[in-house]
Amino acid sequence: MLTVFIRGVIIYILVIFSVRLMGKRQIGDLSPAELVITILISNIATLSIEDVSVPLFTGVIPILTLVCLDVIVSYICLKSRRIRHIISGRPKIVISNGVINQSELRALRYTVDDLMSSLRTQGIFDISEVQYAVVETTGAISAYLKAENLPLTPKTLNCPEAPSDPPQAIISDGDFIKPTETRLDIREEEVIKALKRKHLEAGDVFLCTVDADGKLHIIEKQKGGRK
Amino acid sequence: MKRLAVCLTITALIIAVGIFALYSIDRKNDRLYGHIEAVLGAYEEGGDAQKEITSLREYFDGEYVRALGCFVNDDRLGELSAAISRLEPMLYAGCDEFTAECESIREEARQIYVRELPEFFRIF
Repeated sequence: MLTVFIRGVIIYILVIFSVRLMGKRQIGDLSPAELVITILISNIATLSIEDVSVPLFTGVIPILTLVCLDVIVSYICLKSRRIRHIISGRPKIVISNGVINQSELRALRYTVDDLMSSLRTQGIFDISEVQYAVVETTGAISAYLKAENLPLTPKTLNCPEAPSDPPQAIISDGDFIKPTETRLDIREEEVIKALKRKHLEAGDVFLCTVDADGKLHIIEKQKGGRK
Repeated sequence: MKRLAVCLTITALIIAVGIFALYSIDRKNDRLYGHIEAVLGAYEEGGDAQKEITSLREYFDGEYVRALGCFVNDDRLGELSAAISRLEPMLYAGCDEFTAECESIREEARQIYVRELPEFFRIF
């Protein structure tokens, strides 16, 4: 029993390390090959934990081998477009100027229902509104609307707006967030002064954000919260 | 780039561990063969075969299992252990198959090494 526990701890650490080594990608962003590797790793990890008659090395080595190969192949793909196309495939255009490319859809084994469902998730209910839709190498569909259906932006209205950063948290649950985590130029002392004016201390603040103009927005901790 | 370097290092380490495992199994097997030779020699020349079997058992349970346990499946080591356990009763019973059993232990140990070799037919 203890052997299984210790093996579990070791495999947990190994899996965390492997996932970190593979990079920050979400399940939806994984290419088919990466998804298969992720599933394979989980399968090997389960077997290595459960079967104590098999040396741990025979579980650790294939996991590390798969992860290393994935990273090495990703690097090669980064350097060579040709290899990238061989391994990940190419994006395919399935709608062009509001017309579905049926042969491409058949080749991809995509049904119209799949296509419609993907478009609906992007808020598009009418194919004729689409200028261009592409099936990405991950299998996701990206759509670009026709000019007349594009949403209004300040640019289309010719009224440019000064770019501004979104508000940044500077105090979270009573603790100042280190300067490296915030891009705004505001010093801790200035925030403390502003808090004092409101008869508050950092410990009383649940969340404090600062916007691009340096304006603070303070949410106090509710009574009973940690000081 | 850092990731690539880590991965290349890990790959090199895996290959090094694989080669070390082969070397380690080969060395431990050589010593096991030596013990088997000693058992057979004592048996054929009327020496103290019992003592040699005990020495073989001690070597197997200690150094051999500890070294190979990291690389080899427990089942294979279990088969070898069972074969070694049969030696003593066979010696007492004056069994004709004593020599054959010693040879089978040697063959089992050789197979452990051979199965670790990355030969073409074993990979595919």
